Amino acid sequence: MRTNMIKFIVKRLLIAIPTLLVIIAFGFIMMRVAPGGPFTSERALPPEIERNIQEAYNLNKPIWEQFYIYIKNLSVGDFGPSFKYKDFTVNELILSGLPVSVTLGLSSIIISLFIGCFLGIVAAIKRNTYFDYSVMSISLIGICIPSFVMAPLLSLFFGLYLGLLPTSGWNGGNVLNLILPITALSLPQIAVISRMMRASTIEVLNSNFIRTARSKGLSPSYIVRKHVIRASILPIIEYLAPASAGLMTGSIIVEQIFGLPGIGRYFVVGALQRDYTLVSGVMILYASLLIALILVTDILRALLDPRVKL
Amino acid sequence: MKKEILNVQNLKLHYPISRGFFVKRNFIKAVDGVSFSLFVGETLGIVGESGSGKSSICRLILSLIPKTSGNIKWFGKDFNLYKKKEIKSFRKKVQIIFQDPYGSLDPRMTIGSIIKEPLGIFNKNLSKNESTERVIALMSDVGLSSDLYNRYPHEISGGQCQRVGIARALINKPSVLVCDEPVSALDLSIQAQILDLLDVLKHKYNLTLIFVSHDLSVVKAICDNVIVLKSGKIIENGITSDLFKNPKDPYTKKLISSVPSPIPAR
Repeated sequence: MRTNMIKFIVKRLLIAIPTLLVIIAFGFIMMRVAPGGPFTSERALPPEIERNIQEAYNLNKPIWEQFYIYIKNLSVGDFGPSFKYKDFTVNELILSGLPVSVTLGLSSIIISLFIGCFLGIVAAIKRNTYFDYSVMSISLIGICIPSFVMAPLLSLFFGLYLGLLPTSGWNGGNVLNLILPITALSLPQIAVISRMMRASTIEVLNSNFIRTARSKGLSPSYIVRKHVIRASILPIIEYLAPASAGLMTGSIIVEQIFGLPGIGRYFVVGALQRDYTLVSGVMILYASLLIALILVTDILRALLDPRVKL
Repeated sequence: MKKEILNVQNLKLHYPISRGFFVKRNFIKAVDGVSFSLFVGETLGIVGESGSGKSSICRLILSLIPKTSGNIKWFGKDFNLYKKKEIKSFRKKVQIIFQDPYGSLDPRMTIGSIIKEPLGIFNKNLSKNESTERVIALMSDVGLSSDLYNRYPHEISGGQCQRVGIARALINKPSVLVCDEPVSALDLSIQAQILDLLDVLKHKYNLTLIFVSHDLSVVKAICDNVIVLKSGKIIENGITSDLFKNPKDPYTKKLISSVPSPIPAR
């Protein structure tokens, strides 16, 4: 089992290298195909200055050579200088934004996992009761309201009207500052997870081995804890990888609304300003996070279900 | 006179099939007024075509599904199955094995823990070693080698799965075992093995059996009394040998004549 697991992990990490290369190449080309460049501005620069800049950032070389230089630097962990944030490297920008985004993303995914699963299981057990109907209709609302509506509403209500919580800002990671953005990020996730959990729990509750468990004389709460959850959580685990990768690399909108210095805004600003290295850097980060999390979910699934062979 | 262990009076199970404000409510009458008794030590067969309500009766008398109306008295007592204590003491005495051997086992548990699980409910102060020993002893009783203790259901055959199901049902030494088509998912040679095993275990554990099947040759071989069901109603019942010799109802005659004879008529 253990050697199998290590073999599996090594194999997957080796497969991840070509995958990442393809993603990097794709991003590299996409950015350069987009019209304009990092140093295009309304006022035309004198040709010699432009030539100097191009030379400094290797933009005068043929594109395949630029790609080669970029990959070479990447292999030693250097994402290159930012084209737009002068005097900053992409590494520095990512490192400054990542802790913010990871704190937000990780806490909201954990919170939504617990609340969503709990609500889904209870709704499934008490299906077709008022509890079930209210959870399901509230979660439908949660899915429908986009975060750019939810976030300002939360900020307006709790920040301005009630004056309980700060409306925006990071403030060194103060817990009070985190509550609203985490809530805004969690609500749609709670909604999705609770609906998924309800559906899969109902399916498991109707399966034959649960009937066996009941005929054994086990108590209902024991059956749910020991038999139902292990089976019904599998689709949630599957969903968790893309969801948490998305949340951790920063919800662009929520970070923008609450004025948080996360990584999401670099993605948007970088793309708009053709900051080639910054966009590629954030993209590589997102892709590797996703690959890593999918690997983790595959391992988790094998641990939860003995029928899955790694 | 033998002691009565189960008395069922006018048992009904109706499923609503249409629901709405203007639509008249319709019901599927899965079980429609069934009455019978079960006596200590006998083997009662319940036969009938698919959809005749055999499995529904099993689940009803085991209280795995709620009844629509009627009385079910086990050991002369009406069990209130909404009380935890009563359901517990009931589950200790009456057990069931299911039709789908593989699907009825939790795929995430090892064979050993599946069999052991009910033990913990009724014998809280049993030590780990004692319960493991009891599981292994029972596994050899049902013909499972102890190597399978740490295997998972998907790693063993259908016949072995059904043996696990039987062991799981017997671990707390019940007095009644309900077999809901225990062999219909297995192939013929395995069927015979499982039937032999049930016969051996019946004597070893002093079991009273309810044996549900659509296969009349099986029922003829092992049952003392038979109930013939059609669309949720009892059509005919009686001692097996009499019933097979002189079936009164045309439906029973048809069922019996449909059994393939070992020596085909030319």
